Amino acid sequence: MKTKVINTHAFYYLFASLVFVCLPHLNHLPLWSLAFIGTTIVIKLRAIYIEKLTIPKWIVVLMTIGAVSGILLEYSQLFGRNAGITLLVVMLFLKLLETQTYRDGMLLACMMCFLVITNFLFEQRILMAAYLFIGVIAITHSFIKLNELPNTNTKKLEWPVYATKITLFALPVMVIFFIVFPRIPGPLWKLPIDHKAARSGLSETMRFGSIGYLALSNEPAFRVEFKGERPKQNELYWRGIIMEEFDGDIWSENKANVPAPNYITSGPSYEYTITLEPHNKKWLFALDLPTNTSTLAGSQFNHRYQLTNTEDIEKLKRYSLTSQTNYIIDRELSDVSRIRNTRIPINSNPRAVAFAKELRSTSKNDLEIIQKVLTHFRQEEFYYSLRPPQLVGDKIDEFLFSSRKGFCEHYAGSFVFLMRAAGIPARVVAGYQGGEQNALSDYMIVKQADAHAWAEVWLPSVGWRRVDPTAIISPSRIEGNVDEALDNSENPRFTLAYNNPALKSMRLLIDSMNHNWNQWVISYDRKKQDQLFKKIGLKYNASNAVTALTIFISLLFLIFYYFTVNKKDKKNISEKHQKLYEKFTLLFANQAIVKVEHENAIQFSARASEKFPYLKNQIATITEQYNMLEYANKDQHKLLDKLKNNIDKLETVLEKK
Amino acid sequence: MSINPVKPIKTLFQKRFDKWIDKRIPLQTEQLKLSRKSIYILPTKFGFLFGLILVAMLVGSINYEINMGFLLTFLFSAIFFIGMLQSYKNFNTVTLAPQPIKPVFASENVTVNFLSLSKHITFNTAIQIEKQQAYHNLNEKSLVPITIKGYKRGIYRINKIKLFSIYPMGHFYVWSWFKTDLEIIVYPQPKAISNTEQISKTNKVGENSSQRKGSDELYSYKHYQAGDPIQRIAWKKTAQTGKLHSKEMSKLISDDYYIDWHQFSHLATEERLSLMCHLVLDAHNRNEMYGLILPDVEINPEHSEQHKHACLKELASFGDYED
Repeated sequence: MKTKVINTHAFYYLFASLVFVCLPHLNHLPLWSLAFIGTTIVIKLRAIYIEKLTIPKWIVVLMTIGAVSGILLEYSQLFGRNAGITLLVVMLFLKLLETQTYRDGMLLACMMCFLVITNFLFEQRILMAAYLFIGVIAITHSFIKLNELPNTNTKKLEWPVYATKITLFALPVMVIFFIVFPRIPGPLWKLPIDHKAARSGLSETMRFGSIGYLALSNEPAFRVEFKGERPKQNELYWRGIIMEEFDGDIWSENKANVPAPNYITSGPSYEYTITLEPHNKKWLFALDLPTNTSTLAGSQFNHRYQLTNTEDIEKLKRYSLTSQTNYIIDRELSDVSRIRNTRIPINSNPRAVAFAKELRSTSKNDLEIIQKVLTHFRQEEFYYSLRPPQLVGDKIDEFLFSSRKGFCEHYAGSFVFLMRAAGIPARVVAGYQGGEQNALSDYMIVKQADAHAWAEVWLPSVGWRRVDPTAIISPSRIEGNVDEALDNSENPRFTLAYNNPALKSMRLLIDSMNHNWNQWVISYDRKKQDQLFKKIGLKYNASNAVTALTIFISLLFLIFYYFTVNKKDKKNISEKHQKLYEKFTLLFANQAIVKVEHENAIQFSARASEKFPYLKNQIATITEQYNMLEYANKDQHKLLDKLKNNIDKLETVLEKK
Repeated sequence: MSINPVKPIKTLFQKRFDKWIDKRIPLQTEQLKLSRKSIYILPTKFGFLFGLILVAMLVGSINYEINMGFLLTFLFSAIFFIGMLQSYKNFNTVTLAPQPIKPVFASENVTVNFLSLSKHITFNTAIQIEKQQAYHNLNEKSLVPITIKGYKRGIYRINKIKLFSIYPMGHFYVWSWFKTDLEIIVYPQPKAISNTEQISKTNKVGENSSQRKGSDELYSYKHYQAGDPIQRIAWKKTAQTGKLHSKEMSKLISDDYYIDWHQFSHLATEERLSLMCHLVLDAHNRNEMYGLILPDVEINPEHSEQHKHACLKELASFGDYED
């Protein structure tokens, strides 16, 4: 049987399933491998068209060697996430090419199951899960088709009903196991080093245009759930990157990392939990300013009051913090720090420098300088725009004195430059500002579009203080969000569709689903397990887990038993009652009343009662019971027994005669 | 010829295993119905491979800490086990009624038919007799044939039938054994001998021929006895003798055709039987009466289908060849 030629239908379904499951990988595969796979598909399709020509073995061998060498060249290793997946996909398509027998088909189907799981190394969100669920049904269907006799189903295309049934029945089992199975922390062995795919989001450097670029993206950066009070919209500054180095064009972070000295916070405190989307960097965004960072394992809170993770964040991360929005940091500024934060490149932006120097000479103190700059921004014609003209040369001069049109990074960068030129220590802070409250589910979404850059200035006995020039230029950005601040013509989300209330609810609903999925599935961990078990009133430990599983599996088996065995019993009863009735009719046959083929039970009963009027009652009862059994839907053991007894009694009565 | 030491041990174990299995198989003659006791299930090679892949997925999920990986692993595991239950469920409603087997001539194919009586369709199930397999979907009231090749002359008994299936997922192999007492009759291959050694019809008039009381021709007269049919009254004789006479009729058997074993003593056994078989068929086709004489059996001449089969069966079972 194993060497039998594969079912044609099965082969087509295998083919389709393979393509379906590989599609999400399209982004992660190198171009040459895609061409390779395409060639494979074309070859096989042509072979099918010419009526099942066998692909000569040497072609397959050659292609295999080509593929492996290609992967080695591209990734310089065969293992590791991307290399391994490319290898697997290419190999599976080659296998498809040379699939002839049942055995080949089964091997292919089994390996495809493994392929499905590789998709989750890149993406775990709910849409991918739904897509791959369909993939699982497709693979199950392929298995079934492989094991059917060739002419069992002559329909060309059919819905995989059986496969869907099996997969759906598998769902509850999957859920129980998922809930109960222990989560062992950490890798069991060292993972091979991978090259990671770039993700959209903030980067360690900022130049004019980099934040504006993010304003186009609706991708979620993170979601926040506030426990209790929520700060006002204009207090929602999510601190991320602090850039103190400027080379005339690009702002960047200084690499030094020293633990934060003590700082003072006051005012109302807010508790919140952030679910951070993976961004392959180490930043942990927090509301200015978090107070209990020591409770977060694997994190560092450095002297720039920036919260970072020890490892790159490659997976969804959930963490809880408390913040207070009133704070004093760095009452004393070290010399090193002062020098670093007042440094500007030589001969850069001379007009701005001159402007700053003029402000310094006409002002009494630092505060006055700041006020004057902000007033300048407010009173002069400055515009907040996503698409300012391209600047060349001394960009800050160009911006401040010519174009006067820019996005938050233009304002923040220019402002910090002016401060530094005037001798006030200042730096650029980038992160996110604001967020959209999802009324349906009581959390906030902070999108990439909410990315923002602002400034911090250092004043004596006050410490580092936030100054956000954007708030002056475009208050609706801070009080509302980017969409409200921009001109409709510039707003990428200004479409009727986007703001249509019905679609908006749908959008929020979907995001809410994503959020729940993130919480309960993707970041399901030991803590969540404890929580769930506590809800039932148990503690999560090995014995409870095993007990829960055992009970559940026993239940399943009982249900199965009921379904398979009961069916047979039912059949037996239907036979039994027929047999009993036959016996009954035979009793009368001996008395010359023979039941004819076309006669039904009631007619027969009438005839028999005519001949034996004193047995009329018994005959009627038996006939009635027989009819009930004949047309009843549920099994009637008791009725069957009664019928048997009645017939036996009748038999003895007739025998006496 | 070297002796393989492994083989004898294997056959020893095989024998003991077969004995153990035999004890557990119930004898069923009229209908082959599966009982829970005698259904066995084990994973196939692909089942084991699938299990291995599941373990690999589980380990990968733990290692990379991907919860979706867990979800998928558990989903596939559940499908795996449900597949097992489905394999069992597909199989356990099998009810087959073996039909009487039509006798064949040697080296023809024997077709054993089973009538499927179960209300549920059993998919992709194989019946195995003597290493021959036939795969069918067992549908209610359908005939399920299996063809066995290459029997030599003789009468065979089918003791054991194996039924198995790997539907639906191919991960589990479900099987069961039945004991039966089906009989296969294989007639010898009819072979005519072209040369003149074939002896023509023998006139066995003499001690073996007899004129027996029949109804076709006048044999003799007897005195009328009460109850004799009136049509049989011999009026002429009665007129002659004055006493009532009736006729006794007889069939003139001048040609008693016997196919005799002893006549072909110059041939080898099988050839002899083949020739005799040919002669039987020949005589039958010419609508003649024929009898059969074998060393231990004598069948009187008749002409009918049953008679033909009886004769052929005797030829088949000559020498008590039994499997």
